[in-house]
Amino acid sequence: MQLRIRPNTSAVLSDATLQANLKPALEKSLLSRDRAVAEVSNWEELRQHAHDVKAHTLSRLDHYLQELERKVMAQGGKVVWADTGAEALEFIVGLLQEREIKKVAKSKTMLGEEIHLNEELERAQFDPVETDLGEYIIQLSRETPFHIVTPALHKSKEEVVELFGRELDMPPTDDVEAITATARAVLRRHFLTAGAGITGVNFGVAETGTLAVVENEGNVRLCASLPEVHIAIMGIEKVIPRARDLAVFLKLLSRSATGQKSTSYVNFINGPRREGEWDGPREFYLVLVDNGRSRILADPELRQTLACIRCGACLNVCPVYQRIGGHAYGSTYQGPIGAILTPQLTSAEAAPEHPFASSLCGACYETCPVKIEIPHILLKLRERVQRSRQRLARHLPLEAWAMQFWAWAMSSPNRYGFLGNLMRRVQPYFVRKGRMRVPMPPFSGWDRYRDLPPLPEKSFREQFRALNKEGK
Amino acid sequence: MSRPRILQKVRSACRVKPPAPLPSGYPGAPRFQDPVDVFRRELEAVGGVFLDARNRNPAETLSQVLEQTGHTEVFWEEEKIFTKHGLPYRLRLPESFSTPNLVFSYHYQGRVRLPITLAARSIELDRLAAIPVSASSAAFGIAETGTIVQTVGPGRGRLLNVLPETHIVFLAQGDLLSNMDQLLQRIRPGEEGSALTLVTGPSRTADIGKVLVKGMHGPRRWFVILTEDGG
Ligand code: SF4
Repeated sequence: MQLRIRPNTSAVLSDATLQANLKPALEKSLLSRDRAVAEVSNWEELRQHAHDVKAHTLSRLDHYLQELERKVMAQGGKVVWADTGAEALEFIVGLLQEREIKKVAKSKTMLGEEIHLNEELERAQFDPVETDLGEYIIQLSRETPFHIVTPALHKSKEEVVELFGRELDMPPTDDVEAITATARAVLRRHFLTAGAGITGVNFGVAETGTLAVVENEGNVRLCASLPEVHIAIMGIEKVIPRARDLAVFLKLLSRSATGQKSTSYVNFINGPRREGEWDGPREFYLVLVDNGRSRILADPELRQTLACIRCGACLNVCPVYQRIGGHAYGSTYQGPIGAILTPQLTSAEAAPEHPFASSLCGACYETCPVKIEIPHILLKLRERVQRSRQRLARHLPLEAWAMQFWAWAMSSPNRYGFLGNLMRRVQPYFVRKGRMRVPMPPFSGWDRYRDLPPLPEKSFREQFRALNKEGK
Repeated sequence: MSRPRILQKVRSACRVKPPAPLPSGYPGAPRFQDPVDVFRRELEAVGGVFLDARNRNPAETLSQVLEQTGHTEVFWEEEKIFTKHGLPYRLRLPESFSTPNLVFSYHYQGRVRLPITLAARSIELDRLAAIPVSASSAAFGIAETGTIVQTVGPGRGRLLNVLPETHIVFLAQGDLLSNMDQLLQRIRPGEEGSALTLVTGPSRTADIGKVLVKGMHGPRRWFVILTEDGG
């Protein structure tokens, strides 16, 4: 299956409500992020530290994964290795069947989305309940997350009221507190009757076997405390060496993601309940999932993609995401990180448009708390797509020919000047008021959302020459 | 299973580049002259309530909170509340702490009720979830972010701190640190118990229309009572 972006964009671009609400919502996040970051005098030092720690860990990932495994097992946890999403699902389904568990309380996990955990659990007749409010809204409306941090960002209050009215018999209201209280009550019942809790992991500390999970609602805390079985799923790239590094990563993550100095809850989980502790899960499983990550690791330049801490800041700041939103990407991960991660988790052929869904403005790199060179990676991936296209070049002679012509024209100042001159003379016959007069394939459509400005009367070089003369 | 296969793949992938060095030091974090002041400011900024009981009887402050919230009962399970924070000993029922039990009291009148045992879990869980107010003793506080550190241990669980709508934390002044780095130098996660939680203010969500609402799954009202050391 091929993931496309372009066919999805015209609907989003002409959705007036979305266009009116999306950018202001993202700008609100950005504003609090900027404020929270400005307060930290050594932000750049923190970024560099995090970047270096990730680069080191990835370069010795086998070592740290084994250390993490040892420490988790020493605390009474079990560690399961899954090469693919399917293997992870098989284990989880098998365990739930064995324990005769039906209901599963889930907290937000992007890895869970990536491996389609909910669909699989439902297909196998289990009852997974998303307990993060945003994810719960997404689950009830049978959609996919719009944003990796705020999955229901695109839903208006009215839509939620309508949805809860239909699904939960909530009486109509426009009081957000009342809507939230309804969700609290419904989800509390689910919590009290769930047999297992499934959570993601933000950081796995090799040194201490600690799994750190951040959240604001308290639902991760409940998922990891109430049910008898706790399953944490974690991408293999999420390991960090030392506990003290957590102070750096948590500061970067919470401030970048939501502009909070700390999320309301940071859960440090060290295995199942111990002797003498009266609550907490009796069984704890850590599922380490590869699902294409070791392949990304094997590319010296693209490896840094795995340093991502999923803060979502690059989405908020991206001019493309600000216009097309999350669903247009058609993939689990959206925005700049989605643009680089998706083709790598799948293949250049499977997501050929993702690396092109960027203006290469570099805002994502500036914002990224772990300094991932997203624009650079995008270019590398474009190259890959191009190469795979060239293999199909026989099907695209026009593009190949156009490129050759372009190279020919650009490689000589005289040719460039002559052709530029020619363009300035003929353009007025084709363009008026920023639009083409008659649609001319393959260029038509291009100007639907963009202006086609008239070329200036004189070229830069002509103007420069004239200026020079005046100067003398 | 897949363990050897994944490790093999990871190992050979690592080798495409020489190992990068691990930074030996750690970036600095702010240290405060007056951490109490910073803590109060940050806690209030996230919607928590700060109460200074350093120069008074913490039991009185607790009464105030109960009055303010319209409750008469508070539930706790830590003996530390008495020993560390100086709550009157008559509110304590000694034998209840010898087994992992939950204690609650009409502390206002100084009467102690019988403990609820948590042995019959399925029934007790519902009762537990219906408790309106609970109190706990913080292991540490972090001024930079207005954060409380909650640990678990024998007879000291995680649920009582998160299920009720109102939670009251006792924090001893000597346990207030400036930043998280200091915390992680002091403690090793996992050493004391199987869970440690950093809590910063009430439970919250902004998932509907970006409007901030308190009390999504955890406490809606969050009080921190600062006590003197060894009270
Ligand atoms: S790539 Fe960087 S900015 Fe984007 S989500 Fe990952 S860590 Fe955040």
